[in-house]
Amino acid sequence: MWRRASLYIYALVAVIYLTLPFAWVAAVSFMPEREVTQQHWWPEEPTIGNYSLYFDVEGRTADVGAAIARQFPRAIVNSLIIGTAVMLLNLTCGSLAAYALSRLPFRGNLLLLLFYLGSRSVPGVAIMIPMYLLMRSYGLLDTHLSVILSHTTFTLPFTIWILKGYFQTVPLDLERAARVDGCTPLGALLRVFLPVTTPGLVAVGIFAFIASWGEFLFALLFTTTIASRPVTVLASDFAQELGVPFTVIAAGGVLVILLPLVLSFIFQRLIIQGIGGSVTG
Amino acid sequence: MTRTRDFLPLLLNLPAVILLVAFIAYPIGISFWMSLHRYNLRRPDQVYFHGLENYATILASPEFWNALWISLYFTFMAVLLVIVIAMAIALLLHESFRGRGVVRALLLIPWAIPGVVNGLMWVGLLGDYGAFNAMLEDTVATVNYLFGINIVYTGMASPFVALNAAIGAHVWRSVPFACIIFLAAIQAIPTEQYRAARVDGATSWNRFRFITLPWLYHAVLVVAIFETMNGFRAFDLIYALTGGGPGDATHVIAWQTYKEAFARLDFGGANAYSYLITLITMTLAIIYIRLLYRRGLVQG
Amino acid sequence: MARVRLKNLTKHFGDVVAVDDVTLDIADREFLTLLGPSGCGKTTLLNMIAGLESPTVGEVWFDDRNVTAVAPERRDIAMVFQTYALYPHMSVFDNVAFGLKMRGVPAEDRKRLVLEASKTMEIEHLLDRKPRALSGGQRQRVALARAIVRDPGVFLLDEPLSNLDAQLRVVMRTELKRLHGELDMTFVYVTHDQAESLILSDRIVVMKDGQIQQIGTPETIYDSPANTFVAGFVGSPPINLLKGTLEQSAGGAWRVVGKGFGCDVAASIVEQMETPEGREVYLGVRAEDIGVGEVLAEGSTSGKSNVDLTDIRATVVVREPMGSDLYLTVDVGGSNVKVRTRPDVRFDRGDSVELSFDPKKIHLFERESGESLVPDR
Repeated sequence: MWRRASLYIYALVAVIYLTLPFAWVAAVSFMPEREVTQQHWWPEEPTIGNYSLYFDVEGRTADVGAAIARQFPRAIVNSLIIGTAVMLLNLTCGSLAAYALSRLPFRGNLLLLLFYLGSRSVPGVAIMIPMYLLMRSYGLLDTHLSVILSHTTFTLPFTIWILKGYFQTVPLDLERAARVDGCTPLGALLRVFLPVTTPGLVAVGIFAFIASWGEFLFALLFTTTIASRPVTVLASDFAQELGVPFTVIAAGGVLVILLPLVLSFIFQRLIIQGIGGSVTG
Repeated sequence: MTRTRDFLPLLLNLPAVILLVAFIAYPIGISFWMSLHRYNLRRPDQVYFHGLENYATILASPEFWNALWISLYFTFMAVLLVIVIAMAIALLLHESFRGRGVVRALLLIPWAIPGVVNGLMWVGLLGDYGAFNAMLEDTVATVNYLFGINIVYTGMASPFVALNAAIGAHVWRSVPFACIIFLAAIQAIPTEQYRAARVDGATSWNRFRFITLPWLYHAVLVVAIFETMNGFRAFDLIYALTGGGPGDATHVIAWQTYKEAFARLDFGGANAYSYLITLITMTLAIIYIRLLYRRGLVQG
Repeated sequence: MARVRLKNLTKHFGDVVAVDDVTLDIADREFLTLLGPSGCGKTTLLNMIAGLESPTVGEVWFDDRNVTAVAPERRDIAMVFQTYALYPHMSVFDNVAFGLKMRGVPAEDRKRLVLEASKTMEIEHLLDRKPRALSGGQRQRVALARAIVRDPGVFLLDEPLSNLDAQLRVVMRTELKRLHGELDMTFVYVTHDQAESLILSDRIVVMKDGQIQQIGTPETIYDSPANTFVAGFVGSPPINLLKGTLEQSAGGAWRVVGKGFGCDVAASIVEQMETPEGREVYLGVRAEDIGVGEVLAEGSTSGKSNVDLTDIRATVVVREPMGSDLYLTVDVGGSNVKVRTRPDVRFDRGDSVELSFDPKKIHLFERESGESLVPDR
């Protein structure tokens, strides 16, 4: 009895820890500005005024922060384009490499694994200057492509590592059975291996997408205009601009978080199994 | 014979290798080369080689040691707290109780929030009108009253509060990933082990100490590697939460590098900074990986 | 329908020789078992027949067709894997139909053939389920249905029963034998279980370290093992092997004499040897070929020399009743010997007994090489 009760208290503390900061921000995003200064926990007179600034910008150009808010829809589209491209690049390059590493014994595979692990351990700030110069010399600054490429390089090693682990859990006999059943090697890959590994592929795809969506440093460096700026960079403008009401910032924050949050809820099980299983297994 | 066998796997790795060489290995090389030059964007005509001069300048500068010290403190605290909190939640999620699915779904919230937004969020929470700020103010007032002392709480204007708040926000966002890894590791422990320990008369603390922990050694090291790297590269959160301030209280090394490069436009010096960071994280990574190998926990 | 011929098949993995120069002729519709301990190369050999591994040296022939370079999907084979390898994302029906689909069999025929095969394997009620919803035995049946549905010429089975519990294994063993009787296929069966191989096979190939040790019918393998390895691997409990030396008594009769025992040897065996006198051998005798009785006169044998022993003195160490049989482990001059006898025998731990070896059933192996000295019976 005591054990049960303490378990639920324990669980409650964990839930509060995990959700309270975000819950508060979400609540604030529905508050009129005055309620924040009264340090309310819950909006007493809920309003969607903070959100309307982001979508109905024509009438409210005088509001502080409206210049930033106006660009939000476009920035979200930029983030979507970048995230999707990063996901696809990760899945294609990552699954090819992971398949070779997990299925085909070859000389140098340990070397390659260490290379991937090593590239994962290079911090972004360490390569930001050469990357910047590289992008500049190819005329890629302020394009989606520059951000896509930089995001792919920091997510790809992780994707390969996870997929390699996931692929190794698929018994080799499955593909052999497919061969005996009349599939060519490619047929066995497409008709048996791919469908069986779909959960793992979805997990790393979502993972790469969310990582790209949240990345900041490279996006900040490479993009200068709304033609390519993703939503994280735009949101950071709030930190620079003085006097923007926190209620407006909170609404913006909720808008940025919404998609990754929904994705992580939908694919929660796959992500937890996919990532957990292959990092430790 | 073996040549043809090796050809296909290498071909399959080619796209990934090309990408990573072009955008990581090559930049790292260039970065090192540039770090040996005097290279300030403000004086593009005066680019010349001057060996380890940049490194000497950095190692002699108080800013570097300040940043390194802050980063080490930041990383150490972050790794420690992430491991403790993530472990606590993982152990909770391993128990079966009604509503466990809900807790597990909520687990991913902090992880899904981008670092910049996380920073902005904590600005709100800890700012003048923030909900946490109010709580902290009340706590300090109570402590002052109870002990008859007079601590002045200045919120984020205090270097101590700012740095530790940044750590707290960083930890909050890092917990879910570590938790996922711990949870998977805990679930891999055979239940017979616990039964056997029970039969042997082990208390619940001893079961944790002598069964759970040893089984989690590998997972703890993996998390430590990830979090050490994350700690040293913490940037977006600092950018949004403190902007390096107050003063230089939150000048972590990644922030310092960014400033060298894009505020002072000293690319030579900034690259030397970058290289030092890379060396530090690589060294730590190698130490961790050696630990894993020594325990025979990593197979090639 | 196919006759399978393997010519000098050899497979290297790096420096390891997994299969070493195997030549084998498998008759059409034969049930042939590859038997050996793990790592003996039997699965590699099977994979080469399937085309899943390509031989380093040698050829595989199906009837008059050299299939060495033919991909597995173009060989007329079906295979059952140790882990069943059912496709987890397909229903049982789709699992069974997959091979037909890949070979372009029209949907209607597919349905008919799948139903036929499921009837044979008694899995008609499972067709809509996914593999993960099946028990081990049901998965096994699906795997078999998937293999037989295509009516292949050669049916390859890689330890198909080893993941089943003991009772199911017995049921499926009978099922396999029934299938072989009903179907028109050549079965090549890999196992490390000697009992399975004895029960199922027309012929057994015993392998060790990539090499064939002996090929023969179950009776030949059991009654005339070619060497100590085969003798020890086939049969349960394993054959008793005792160190001894060949000696000729004054009367001219040959005996094997070792520590604590002596045993007559038929002249026909010794006649074939060049220098029998003093030859170091292993005497092999199976548990069921040993008689056990009371010591008639205590101390009566003490005066005699070893050479004159007619019976063997032993002490009971362990008594293991098995229902229909009783196993006694007895000590003969410091070595343990297993004896199978009737359950009503009363001897127990510590009792002194006299053993008698059936001279017609003993085996002699050369000590150094382990090769049999007894001509095939």
